[in-house]
Amino acid sequence: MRNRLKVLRAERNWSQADLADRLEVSRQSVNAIETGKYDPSLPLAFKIARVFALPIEQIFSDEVEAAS
Amino acid sequence: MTCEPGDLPPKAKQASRAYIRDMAIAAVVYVGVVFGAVTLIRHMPFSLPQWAVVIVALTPLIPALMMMRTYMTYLRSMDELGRRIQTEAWLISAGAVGLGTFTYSFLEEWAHFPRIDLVWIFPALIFFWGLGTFIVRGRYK
Repeated sequence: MRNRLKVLRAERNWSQADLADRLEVSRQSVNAIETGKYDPSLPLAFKIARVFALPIEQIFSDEVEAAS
Repeated sequence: MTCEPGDLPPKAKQASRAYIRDMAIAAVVYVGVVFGAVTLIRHMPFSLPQWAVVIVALTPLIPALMMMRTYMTYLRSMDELGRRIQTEAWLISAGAVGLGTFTYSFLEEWAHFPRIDLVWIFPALIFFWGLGTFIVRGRYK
């Protein structure tokens, strides 16, 4: 699964730690999601969508990560 | 085994500190209980009846249960990736210790390898859990 977390975070000038605080997860979790090493659960994906105020499909797409 | 404090959100930091504190308390209780039990069973001028020895021999279970409760509380405070890492680490540990003891039991029985006490199984589980956590956490970095 691909995601635009890194781009969206950069647009808001948030560090990984800032986003992790907003999502109430560890910074390692944010990093693992951004790098495609970990796909979040549906509840966490919805929480991410709420934090960025975007529909979930504008953040995640059902494509295989090319780099993984 | 905890995450680096800087990596954790405030609630998880609190849980991490409580985990370290409660584990330390349980470890102190464990040392006290084992010291007391050994003194009662081996170094007293009188010998305890068998039923009392059984009860004394079961007392290390109390701090072990305290540790387990502390760990479970800490596990529930983790985020989903933390819980996944822990699950995979325990699977590695169960696999390593399960296969290790299974294999060694044949070596003991048929090849007359030295007997190993059952008391080493729990420390082995903890060792491979720690190793598993290190390996699995590295995969998500």
